[in-house]
Amino acid sequence: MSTTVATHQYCTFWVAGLHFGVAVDSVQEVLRSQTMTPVPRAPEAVRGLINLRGQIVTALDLRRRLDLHTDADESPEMNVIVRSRGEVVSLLVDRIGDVIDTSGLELQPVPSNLPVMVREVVHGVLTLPDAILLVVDPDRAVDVSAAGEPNNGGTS
Amino acid sequence: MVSLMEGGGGVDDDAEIIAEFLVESHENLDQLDRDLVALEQDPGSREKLASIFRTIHTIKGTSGFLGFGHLESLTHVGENLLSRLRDGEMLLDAELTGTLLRMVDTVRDLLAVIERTGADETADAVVVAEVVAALKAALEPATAPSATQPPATQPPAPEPVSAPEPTVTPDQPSVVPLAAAPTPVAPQPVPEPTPVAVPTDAAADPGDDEPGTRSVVDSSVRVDVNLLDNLVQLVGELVLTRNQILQRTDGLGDAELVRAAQRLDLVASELQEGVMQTRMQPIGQVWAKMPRIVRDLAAQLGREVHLEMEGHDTELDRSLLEALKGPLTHLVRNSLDHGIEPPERRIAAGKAAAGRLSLRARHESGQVVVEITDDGAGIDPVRVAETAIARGVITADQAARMEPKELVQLVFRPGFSTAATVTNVSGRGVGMDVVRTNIERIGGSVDLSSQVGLGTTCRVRIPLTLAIIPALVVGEGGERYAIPQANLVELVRLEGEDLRNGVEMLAGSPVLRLRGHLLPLVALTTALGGPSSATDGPLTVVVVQADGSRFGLCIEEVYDTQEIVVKPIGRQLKGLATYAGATIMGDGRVALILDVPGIAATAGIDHVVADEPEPKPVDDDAEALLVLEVAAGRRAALPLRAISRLEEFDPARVERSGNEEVVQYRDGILPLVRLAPAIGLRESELTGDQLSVVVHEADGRRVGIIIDRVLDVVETAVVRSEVGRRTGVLGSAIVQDRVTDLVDLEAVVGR
Repeated sequence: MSTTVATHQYCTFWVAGLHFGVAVDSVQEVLRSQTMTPVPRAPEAVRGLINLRGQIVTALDLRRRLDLHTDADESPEMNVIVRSRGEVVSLLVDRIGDVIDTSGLELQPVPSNLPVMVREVVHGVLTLPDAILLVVDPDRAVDVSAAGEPNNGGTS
Repeated sequence: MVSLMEGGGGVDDDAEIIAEFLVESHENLDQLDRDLVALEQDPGSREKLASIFRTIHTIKGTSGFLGFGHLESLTHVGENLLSRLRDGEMLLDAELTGTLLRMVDTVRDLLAVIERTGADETADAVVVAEVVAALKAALEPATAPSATQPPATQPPAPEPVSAPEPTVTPDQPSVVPLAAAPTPVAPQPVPEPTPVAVPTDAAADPGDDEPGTRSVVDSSVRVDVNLLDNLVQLVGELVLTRNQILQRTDGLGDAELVRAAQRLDLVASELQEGVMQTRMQPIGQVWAKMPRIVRDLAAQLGREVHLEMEGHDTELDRSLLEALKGPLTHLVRNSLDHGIEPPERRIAAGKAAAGRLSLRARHESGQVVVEITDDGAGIDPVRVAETAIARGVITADQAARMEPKELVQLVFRPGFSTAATVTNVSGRGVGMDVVRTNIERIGGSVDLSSQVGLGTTCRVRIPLTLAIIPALVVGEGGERYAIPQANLVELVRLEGEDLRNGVEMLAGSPVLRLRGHLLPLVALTTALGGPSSATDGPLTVVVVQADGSRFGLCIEEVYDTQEIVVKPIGRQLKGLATYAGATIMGDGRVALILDVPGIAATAGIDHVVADEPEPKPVDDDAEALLVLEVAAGRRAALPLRAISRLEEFDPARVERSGNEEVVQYRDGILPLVRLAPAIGLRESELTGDQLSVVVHEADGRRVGIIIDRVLDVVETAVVRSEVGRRTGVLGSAIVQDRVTDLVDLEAVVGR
C-alpha cells in the first residue's frame, strides 16, 4: 500500500453508519443528489448513470457495493466523484464528512473479522482519536465485475 | 451510391493532398530528429527503429503517389538502410546516424521546395544524389563491420557537394548533432556554385517572393483532441444552462433580462453548431482522394481497377477521420498490390480483366464500419503460415495449431510481408502492422476475411465515441432508450382486432403476422430483465434488424427521432450486451442506447432466418393472400402483392365523378370499386361508420376497392378450383379451411 505513504488528507463520508475515507487526490468533486438513469441488468451495485457536465458517469451505491444494510429506507444520494484508472465514477454515500488531515497516523491493516465485501474495498484503517476511519481504495471500490449479482430489475 | 470520380482529381485536390502531406511530414521529421538522436544513445531499441522506419516508409509511399521522384528515391534508399538496421543486419553507429540525419535534412529541404513550387523538380539533384550515394555506400559494405568512409569512396566527387548541406539548412538545429558525427562530411566545406542556388531560394522565401501566402504549416492549427472534447462537453452544459435560464426568464416580465436571454440563446446555439462542425466530417473527404490514388497506383502496377464507393456522407469525428486516412490509404494500396491480380492473370483465372475495389462506410451498432473489398487473389493461409514461420513470426508448432482464419490474421504481426517481391508500393512488412497500430490507437479494430481466389474484405470498425447518429427515442418503464436508426425497419401499431388476429403465441413465444410473414416479438421490458407483462392495450412494435436477423421489439411509447451523440459507458457496464452506449437528452438526462444485435442474442433469436425486405415465397406455389369479408360473411382473397395500402374513409367523403364513386386521397382522386357487386354478390349494409378500402396500385394508377373488412393475411399454396368461377372471380380455393373466392383483380378494377 505504498500509495498511502504520501497521502495525509482524506475526504470522509458515512455509509451505513461506518466512517470511510478516500485519499483527496483521487477525489474529483463531491455533488449533491443527481438525476439518475437506471441501467437494467447492470450489476447490483450500479445505481445508474449521471450526466456530469456532458460526461456520462456510472454511479455505484456504496452500501450495496459493501453489502451493508441499514434501517434507513432511502438510498444514499450524495456523490463522491472519484477517478480510477482513467475513468470517473461516482460513489453514492449517505453523508459527507470533513476532509481530515491524518499526518502522523499510520495506516493499519483491516481487522480480519470485517465482512469480506468491506475488506475487499478497504485497504487499511486509521485510528483517529474519536473514530476509526476505513480507508477505501477507489480502484477496488469501482471494480464491480466480481461483486454483486446481475440486477434483473427486481424480478425474475 | 456508386461513383467513379476519375475526373475529380483537379489541381485543387492535388494541392490539398500535397498540403496535408507537407504538414504531416514536417511533424514526422521533427519526431525523426529526436528519435535518431535518442537511438544513438540506445542503438538496440527496435521500437524506435521500427517507428523511424514507418515514418520514412510513409513519406516514401506518399511521395511516390504524388510523383516526387527525388524524394521517393531518397527515402527508398533510406528505407533500405533502416530495414537492415531493423532486422539487425547492421548496427547503428555515430556515422550511420549522421548519414540518416543528413537524409532527414535533405528530405526537409525537398519538402520546402515542394511547398514553394509544388514539385521537387527544381530541387538540387546533385545534393539529393550525393545523399543517396552516401546512403547506398552505407548499405554496400553491410557485411564488413566498418563502413568507415562511405562518401569519400564514391566516384562522383562527394567532397565539394557535401558542403552545401549545412548551408541549405542554416536554421535547422538538427544540424548540430550532425556535425559531430559525420566526420567524413563536415571537414571539407567547399562551397560550390551549383548548390548555392538552393540557399538563395530558401533565403528569398521569407522575403518579398510570396508575401501574401502563409506556409501550410502556419495556416493550420492542430488542436489537441482533448481540448476539443472539453469544448464539446462545455458547450453541451452551456446549452442546458441556457434552457433553464430561458424557462425562468419567461414569467418575469423583465424586458432587459429577456433580451439578454435571447442573445444568450442565439450565441449558445451558434457556438454549439460551430463546435460540433469543427469536429464532424463526412468520410467523403477521404473517399474523394481515393480515385486519384487508385488510378495512379493501378497505372504504376499495371492493374485495371474499377473503384466503387458508398457511404460518402457517413459522418465521423474529425480526429477519427484523420486517424483513419493513413490506414485506409494503406489498405487500398495493399488491395491493389497484393489483392487484385494483373489483367492477364485475372483472365486466366476466369475473372474480368478489371478488378473491383469497393469502399463502403456506414454506421452500425454505434460504430463506424469501413469495408474495403477486392475481388482479387485472396490470402492463402498456407502461404501466410509458411512466410510467418520463415520470418520467425511464429513457430511451425504454433502454426500447426492455428485455424486458417487465425493464420490470415498473422499479416498484422510486425515484420511480416506476403509479397514475394518487395515492391515500391507496399509489402515491406510494415503495412498491416502500421494499419493495425493506428486503428487500435483510436480504439478501433480491424479484421480480414479472405477467400483464396475470390478476394479479400478488410473490415475496420471504429467506435463512435464522438459520432452523431440518428436514433428513435422510445419509452419503457418511465425511462427513455435510443434505438439507432440504422437498425430500424418500421413501426407497427396494433390494437383491438388487429392485435388479437396478428399476435399469436407459438410454443410460448409471441410472434406477429406481418404481411404474411412471422416476426418474432421481444418485449423491451423482458429484454431489460423485467417481467413479461401481458397487456390488452394497443401494442407498439418497432421492427428492427441486425446481423441479418429481424424481429419486433414491443415498447411502451414512441417519442421521436433525434440526432444523438453517442458516448461511451463505464467499465462497470461493458459486459452488458444490451447497450451500445449512452447519450444525453435535451433535458440533460442520460438515456441508454440499445444494442440491437445484443438484444437479439440475449433473447436467443439471433439465428432466426432473416426476412428479406422483398420476401419471396418459400415455395413457388405459396402466395400471400389478403383474406377479406364481403357481402356479409362471404370470403374473398386478393393477392397481397397487388395491394399497396389499407385505408378507412368516412362514407361522407365519397364523391361522384361521372358514374364513378371517388374519394380525395393523397392530393389526388382515388376511384372506388365496390367489391361485392363486382364479383356478383349483393352488397351488404354498411355496418361500421367507416368504409374499409383496399388500395390497389398498378402502373402508377390507384384504385380503391371497398370491402367489408380484412380478415387475415395468409401465405399458402393455393389449389384453385373452377367452382364458383364467374366474372370477377377466378375460381375458389380452400383457405384456412374455408372456401374462399379468388378475386380476379384485373377484371374488378378494369370495369
